[in-house]
Amino acid sequence: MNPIDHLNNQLRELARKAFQDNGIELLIGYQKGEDGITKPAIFYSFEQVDLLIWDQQASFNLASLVRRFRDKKIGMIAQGCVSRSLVVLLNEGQINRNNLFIIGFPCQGVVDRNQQLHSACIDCQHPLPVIQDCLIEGDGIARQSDPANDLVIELNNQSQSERMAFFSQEMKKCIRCYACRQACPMCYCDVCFVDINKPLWLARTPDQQNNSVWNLTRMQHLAGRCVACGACDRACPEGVNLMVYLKKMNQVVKELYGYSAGLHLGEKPALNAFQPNDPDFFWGKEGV
Amino acid sequence: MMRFFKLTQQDWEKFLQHQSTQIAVVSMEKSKHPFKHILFPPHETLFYFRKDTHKELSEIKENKVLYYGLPPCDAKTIQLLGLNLLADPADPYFQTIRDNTVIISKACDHFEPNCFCDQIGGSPGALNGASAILYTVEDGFHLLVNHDWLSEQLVQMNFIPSEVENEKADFSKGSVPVREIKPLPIDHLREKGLSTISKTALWEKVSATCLACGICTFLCPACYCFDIQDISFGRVGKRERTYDSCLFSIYTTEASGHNPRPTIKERWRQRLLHKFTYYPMQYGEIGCTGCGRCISECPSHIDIREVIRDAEQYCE
Repeated sequence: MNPIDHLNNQLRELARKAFQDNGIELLIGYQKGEDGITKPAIFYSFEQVDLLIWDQQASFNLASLVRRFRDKKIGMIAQGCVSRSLVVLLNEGQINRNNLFIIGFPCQGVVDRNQQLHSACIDCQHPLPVIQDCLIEGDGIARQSDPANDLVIELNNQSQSERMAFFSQEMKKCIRCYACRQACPMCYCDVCFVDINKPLWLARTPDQQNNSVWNLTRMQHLAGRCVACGACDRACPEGVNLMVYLKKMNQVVKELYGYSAGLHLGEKPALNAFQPNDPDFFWGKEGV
Repeated sequence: MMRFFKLTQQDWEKFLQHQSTQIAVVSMEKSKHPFKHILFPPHETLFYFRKDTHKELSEIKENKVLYYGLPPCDAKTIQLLGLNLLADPADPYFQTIRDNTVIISKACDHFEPNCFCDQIGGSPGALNGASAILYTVEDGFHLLVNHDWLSEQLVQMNFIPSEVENEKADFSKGSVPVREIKPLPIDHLREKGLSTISKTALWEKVSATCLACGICTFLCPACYCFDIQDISFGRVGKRERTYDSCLFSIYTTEASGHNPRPTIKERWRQRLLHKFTYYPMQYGEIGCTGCGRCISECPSHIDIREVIRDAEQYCE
C-alpha cells in the first residue's frame, strides 16, 4: 500500500474513533471534489468520514475554519503548520482547547498551483504537529532550503532599489480580492481596516501604491504571529509572492526576539510581551 | 445582419495585418483573467474634480480596438454586462468602451476540466455577444460575422460573403467539441429559486468552507458590482470606480453599522440566487457563462456545479 493511502486509512480510523469515543460534533478535514481537487470539507457524522482524505494537493490551512465553529466540539486533522496556527489561536484566546480534538499526522509538504512543492514547505522545520490528542506515527519531511535558490537571501543581497523594483512588481499584480486575508488563520479581525469607509482608511483602487499599503499592513499585523504555512500565498489568484516577505519578517522576529510563533502553548506573542532585556534597539540601548 | 465568410489561413492573416494598420488589434486567449477586465476595468477614474469650481476635468475618450481569439464564454460578457449596465440610464463609461470594442471570438477545440458552458445551455461554438466567431475547419477558417462595420471591412478586402439564411446552420463543420454530459438543473433555480431563501441548512452547507474572499466575483465574467470612492488630495481629487463583491462584509453594511447579510451564508445565497434566479427574473438570462474560473481559482475549491445540484434538492 502506498504511504499516502496508508496515512489516509489511519486518519479515517482515528476520525471515526473521535466521533464515537471523543464526542466531537464535527470534523474539519479534506475531501475530493468533482474535478479531483482536494478541498476542505466539514464532516458531521461517523458515516461521512469515508470521504476524508489528505494528500499533497491539500493547500488550504484548516485552522482558518476553526473560529467559525468554536462553540461546538471540533475534531480536526492537523500537521505541523496547522497545529502551530491552532497554538497561536489558543494563545490569543480565540478558541478553547477543551473544544478541540486534534488528530496529528506527519506532513510531506503541499504543492502550489503548478504542482511544485510550495515555497512555504521548502524549508519546513516542523512537519510534525506541536499539539495533538492522538498522533499518527511516522516521519514528516523536514527540509532545508537551498541557499543558492533562496529568494530571501537573494533579495537580502540586492540593493535597495533592486528590492524596491521587485516589491513594486509584485504589488502591481494584486487585485485586492483579500483572499490572502481570508485564507489566513491569523487574520480574524471582525472588522479589517480596509473594510472601514467612514472615514476611508485605504482607497480600494488596486494600484501599486494602495496595494503596497494593504499588503505591508497585513504583514506587519502578522509579525510574531505568522507560522509561515503559506495558505495566503497559495490562495492568491495572481501569484503575488507573499511568502518571501513573510519569511523575511519571521527571520527578523527570530533574530530580534528569539521567537517563532505557535511552538509553545501559553506563550505570549513576541510583540505582546515585554522583557527587561528587550533587544529592540530603540528601547533605550543603542538608539538613545 | 449576419454574414458568413470562408477564409484561408493567408486570408485571415492578411485581414489582421490590414486591420492593424488602422486600429489596435489585440490577440487574446482564454486566461485566468476574464475579458470583463477590459470592458469593465477593475478600476477606472471616472473624472477629476476641483473643490472650488466643481468642474469635471476629463471626458470619456476611447479608440476602436479589435480583440480576436477569445473563447465564446468571454464574448458572452458583453451581453451579460450590457443587460445591466446599458439598461436605462446607460453607464456612459461602459458604453463607450463597448461601442469601440470589436470581438472576434474563436470556437474552443476542447473542454478544460472546469468548463461547463454546455451544461447550462451554452456551447463552445456559440456566437454569444461577439461581433464574429472564428471556426477552425480543415481547409482554413469559417467566420460568422454579426457586425456591420466588420462585414464592410471584409467586403472591402474582396472577401465574398454568403448571406446567412438559417442561423441554425452548422458553420463550424463539426469542429466544435460535443460531449455526453448531464446538464445542470438550472431551470429549477430559475423557476423556484426563491423558495430556497429560507433553507438555512442549504446555505450553511454551501458556505461551510467558503472564506468570503472576492476571487470568484472579481474573476466572474458576469459580476458587475462596483464601488465608487472620492479620493481627494487637498483641493483636487478624483472619483474612482472599483470592483466590489457581495461576499465582502462591507458590501451590505449600512450607515448605522447594521449588516443585513451578517454571515457568509447570506452572502453566498445572494451570489448564487443573483446569478441563477434574480438575473433571469430581471433580464431573462442567467448570469453565468460556464467559464469555470470561480471553480479553478477558489482557495477552498468550492464547485458551483455541486452547489447548483445541492440547491435543486431544496427547490419547492
